[in-house]
Order: sequence, then C-alpha cells, then structure tokens
Amino acid sequence: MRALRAEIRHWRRGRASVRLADALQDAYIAVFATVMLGGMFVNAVIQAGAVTDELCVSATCQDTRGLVPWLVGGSSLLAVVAVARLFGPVYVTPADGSWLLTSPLDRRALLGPRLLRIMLVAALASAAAAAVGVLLVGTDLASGLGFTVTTCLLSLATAGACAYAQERERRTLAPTAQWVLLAALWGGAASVALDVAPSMPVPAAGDPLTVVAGVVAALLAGVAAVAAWRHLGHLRHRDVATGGELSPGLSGAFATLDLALAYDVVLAHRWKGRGAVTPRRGGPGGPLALVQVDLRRLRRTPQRLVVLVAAVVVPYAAAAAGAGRFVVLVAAATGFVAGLPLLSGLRVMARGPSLARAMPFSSAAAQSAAAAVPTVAALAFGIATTGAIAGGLTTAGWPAWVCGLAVGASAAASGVRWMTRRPPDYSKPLIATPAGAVPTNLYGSVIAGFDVLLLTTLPILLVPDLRGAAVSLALSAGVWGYLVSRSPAR
Amino acid sequence: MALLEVRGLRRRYAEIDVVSGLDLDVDAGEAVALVGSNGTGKSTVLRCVTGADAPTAGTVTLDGQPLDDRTAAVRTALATVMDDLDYFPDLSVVEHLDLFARAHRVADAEAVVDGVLRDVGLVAQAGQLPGTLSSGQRRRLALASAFVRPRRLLVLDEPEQRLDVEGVAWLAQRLTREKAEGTAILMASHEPALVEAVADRVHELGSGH
Repeated sequence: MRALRAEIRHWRRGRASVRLADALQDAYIAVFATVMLGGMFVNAVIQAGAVTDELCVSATCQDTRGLVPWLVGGSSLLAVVAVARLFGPVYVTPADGSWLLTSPLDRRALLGPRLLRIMLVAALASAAAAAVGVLLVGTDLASGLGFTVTTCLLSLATAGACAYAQERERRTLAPTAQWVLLAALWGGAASVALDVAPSMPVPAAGDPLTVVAGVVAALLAGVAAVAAWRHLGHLRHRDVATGGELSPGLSGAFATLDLALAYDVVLAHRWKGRGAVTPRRGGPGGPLALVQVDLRRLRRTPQRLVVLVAAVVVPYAAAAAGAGRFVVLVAAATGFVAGLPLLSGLRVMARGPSLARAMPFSSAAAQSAAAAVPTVAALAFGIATTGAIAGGLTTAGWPAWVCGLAVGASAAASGVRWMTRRPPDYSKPLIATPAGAVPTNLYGSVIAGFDVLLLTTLPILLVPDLRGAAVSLALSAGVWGYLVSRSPAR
Repeated sequence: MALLEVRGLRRRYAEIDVVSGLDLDVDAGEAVALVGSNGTGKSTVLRCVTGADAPTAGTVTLDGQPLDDRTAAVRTALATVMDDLDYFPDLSVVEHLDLFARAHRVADAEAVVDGVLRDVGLVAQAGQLPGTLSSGQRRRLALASAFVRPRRLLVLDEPEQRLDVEGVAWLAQRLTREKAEGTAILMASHEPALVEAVADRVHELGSGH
C-alpha cells in the first residue's frame, strides 16, 4: 500500500491541474462562506431559542422543551445509522473497486483512512446537531458542551458499530439499531403527546451522570472503532462496492439539486440489493390494476405504512407543547414527509412518459390510479390528527374533522407535487448567478412540495375554522387534480 | 386504405430537417423496415408515428383516423418498443407483465403472461427485479411487455439492440408469427438478418429525408 501511494505521488508530480493560487482562493471562498452561513444559522438558532424562552412558560412546555436536545441528538444518531446502512458505511468508488480491490493489497490499509473519514464526518454532523439542540433550549455553555461531546462520541460509536456490522453475516445489527432508535424517539414524542414527558434537562457539566455518560460513550466509541478497524480486512468486494455504485448517482442528483432523482437512485439501489421477490399476480383490470399494485407494495414493505401511522404522534406532541394553530402546519408537514415513501409508484409513472404510454388509458387516469392509495393513506393520517388539530385550533365536532381532512389533503397534494415535479432543465435559458448559471426552474424544483404545503395550509392558519378548512380542502383537491392530469416529464 | 398511413411527414429541429416529406403505408399483417445510417431520422419517424413527438408538418392516420395517442382506441391498438421503457424497481419481471396484461384487460391474463415469459426466455427470471437483469434481459422484458397486450400495430425501434445472435433469430421468428396473426409492424433496424427475415418492404432513409 505504501509503495502504491508513493507511486501515485510520483505520477502526480508535475501534473497538477490546479494552480496553488487558485486552490488557496477556492479554500478562502469555502471558509468564508462556511463561516458566514454558519454564523447566520447559529444566530437564527439563538434567536429561535430566545423566542421560545419568552413563549414557553408553562411547566408542560418547559418539560417538553427539555426533551429537545435528546430528540435532536437521537435523530442525529438515527441519521448516522440510516446513511451508514445506505452506503455501507465503508465503500469504495467503482474505479477503486475494479483497480485496487482486485489487487493483492492490504485491504485494511486501503479502507482504514476511509473508515476514519466516515467516523469523523458522522461525529461532526452529530456534534453540530446536538449543539443546535442545546442552543435551542438555552443550556449553559459547560453543560451544552458536555452534551455535545457525549453525542459526538456516541455518533463515533454508532458509525464504528455500523462499519463492524458491514460484513454480510452481521447485517442485522444496523437495522436493529435503527428500529430501536426510531422506537426510542417515537416513545419520546409519544410521552410529550400524552403529557407524561419526564423532566429531562441536559445534565450539568459537573453532574456525575454527565461524567459517567461521557466515559461510557468514549469507551463505546473506542471499542467500536477498534472492532471496525480490525474487521476491515474481512470485508469482501461486494460488501464495499454497492455503496460505491450509489455515490456517483447521488452526487449527480445533488449536483443538479434534483432531489427526486436522488430518491430514484436510492430506491433503485435498495431494490437492486434485494434482487428478487415472491411474485404476486392476478386482480382487477384497467386503472384498478395500478391501485392493486400499490396495495401489494404496502404488503411487501409495510414499514412505510408503519412510519406514517407512527408519525401521527408528532402533531399531538406539537399540540401538547403548545404549538397552537401551527399544529396544522406541523401535521401537514409530517404527513407530507412520512407519506413520501408511499408515492414510489407515482414517481416512476411521472418521471417519464414511457410507462403511462404503455397503459390503455390516459396519463391522467394512470397517474390518478398510482396516487390513489397514498392519497387515501394521507387523508386517513389527517383524520387521525383531528384530536391534535382540534386542540390547537380550539375547534370541536365535525368542523375539527373537516380540518383534519384538509390537513390530510394538504399532505397528499404536497407529496404528489414533490413526486411529479419537473427536474431542473439545463437546456432552457439559464440565469447568471454568483454561484454560476442556473436554470430558471431550479429554485421551483428545490421547494416543490413545500410550496403546495404552505399554499394549502395557509387558509386554515389565517382562518382557523370551518371556512379556512373548506378553502384549504378545495385548494388541495385542485392542486392534486392538476398535478396528476399533467403529462409525465419528458 | 392501409392500417397506418403517413403522408408528407416532416420534422424540423432548429434549422435542420431531420425528416422531410415522408410517405409511408403499413397494412395489417405487413412489416415495413426503416433502414439508414445513424442520424437519418428513423427514431424520429417512429416517435412521430407513436405520438411521442409532434411532426412539424404532415399527417399520421391509423384506420383512417388521425393518430391521437390520448385516445383509448389508439393506446390499445398501438404497442411500442422504444429505447426508453421505464420500470418499477420494486416489481418483478412477471409482475410487470401481469400489470400490463391486466391494465389492458387481457382475458386469461395469467396464461398469456406465462406464454410470453416462456417465449422471451425469462421464465427463470420471473421473480427477479428489473435492476438485477442484464441489458439483454431488460430488452426481452420490453419486448414481452408489447407481446403481452392487445396490438394491431407494433412499432419497434431497433428491437435487436443488446440481443445475442440466438435472441435475434428468436425475434425474427416471433415477428414473423406476429405478421401471420395480422399485426402490422413498423420497425427501425440496423440488423440486416432481421430485416431480411421479417420485412415485406424496406424504406431507406437518407440524410435529410
């Protein structure tokens, strides 16, 4: 490995493609932008913390607020596990896979630096998330620092454990950890919703609990890192190559800010990894065939429905925390995000014209059929959040049910908007910006879904009664109808 | 009157006439092959015929009626195999074919699907997901999706693409059978053996035609 690196250095000598001055200039811009944007973000978080300081005065709200750092920290660990499972976490590019993994190199020496990078990125991301959490609740500096460092160490441990579990024989470890973390987070949100949230402020820096937690986290991180490093040599080509196949597609999607394309890449990668399924056949004809395919999808991967059902707790937690009429926005946003995985069939139907053209009915009928099951699920989600919305809007009876239905319709319309949006079109006239030339529909593509979410919840936010709900419902229905009747993207 | 009639078809991109003044008839049970070197407009003609692209001028009629791919009659009559068929990543090979057959309300869909699966040689891959198929197998799946549904006109854009030698021979047999059953075929191809075996008439497109 050392000889190879020396050889690469030798090849590169005299073949620099970037001048030192250009590299320094790029580095300056990157550091300046990071500091400036980071400063703005930190300032916004501190301001948000100050606002909640003023508004959150009740004991329930204080208890709920105390849980925020724990929920944010737990979410960051969950994100680490999810991303680690997606990529490996240790992965090699297709070029490295074909050139280096097929040669008699020490695999541990080759993959070691990559593991280190992955663990560092995970630790930094979790530290940033934990810092936001403690800033939001206004924890003192020493306690906040202790909490952030502990979360950072736990994140290192999580990334290391995922790398240790990367070998095919130990693949159940990471999914189990993911479901346990998800259940813990759900439990936290449910305790808030049921008003039984324990009072759990971030422990003080000198608290023995902080010290013990820090030491345990450090031990876990050390053990996981050593275990992962020792097992790097056991990783096979197939263990590290699949994540590498994913990275070029995702890089391309993010480079063009095409989030739906990133969704396609992840979905295709996931199903390719599964390889085969037990085929199920038969059923109704015409457009209903597409509806039934979606129902089979639910049976095949019920986790998507479980997540949507579990997400019902979020608006209730927001209502219990005193979010007022903004519960409507929280509920619709939760339904929108949690419902996206159900819309995979519509996404495939809408991203190109070929499938819709192969059907004997119109594209509108095909897309409506592909959106039917997720829409019904979103409406059911909305109705299930009626209790939370009624509390937030102080309405009751059937007007509250209509509000719940409107929230579900808003989530459905936003999801359909997200899935049927047009990708950024670089063949159209471009606008010159400081970040380079961008297509005119780039920004619209980035905010797709959230635009409809705001549009359709605004009437209830402004007029939080039956009239607002009726207007919201009509808007959502109109947007939904328009979107599914559009021709698929070309 | 021919099943498919193309009159004065012209397609202009920017300042370039990719196709200009093309006249073409395809009768039921007849196969017409479009041949020509790359860039002579074969795929453009097929895209205009199937309604995927709008001609700059000219008419395309199916059964004497202007071909409008939004109508159920045209969608039922017209089966296409172009290069762009998308797949659901979570549906297996046989589930795709089952979906197409049921969407078209094919009677005894299960038997039809099983027959087509055997015919295209994908029985062993029935439960596999499209992402795991080789490019040749994906081509066979695209062809199967056209054979599993009702059709009066089959439009094929280089159907031999990515098929091995045996696959091309099988395709020639299958298309000959399609003709015998009364299906009209319009195809673009670079494979002389396939054109010779299947086509009743060959239409050569030149640069700018």
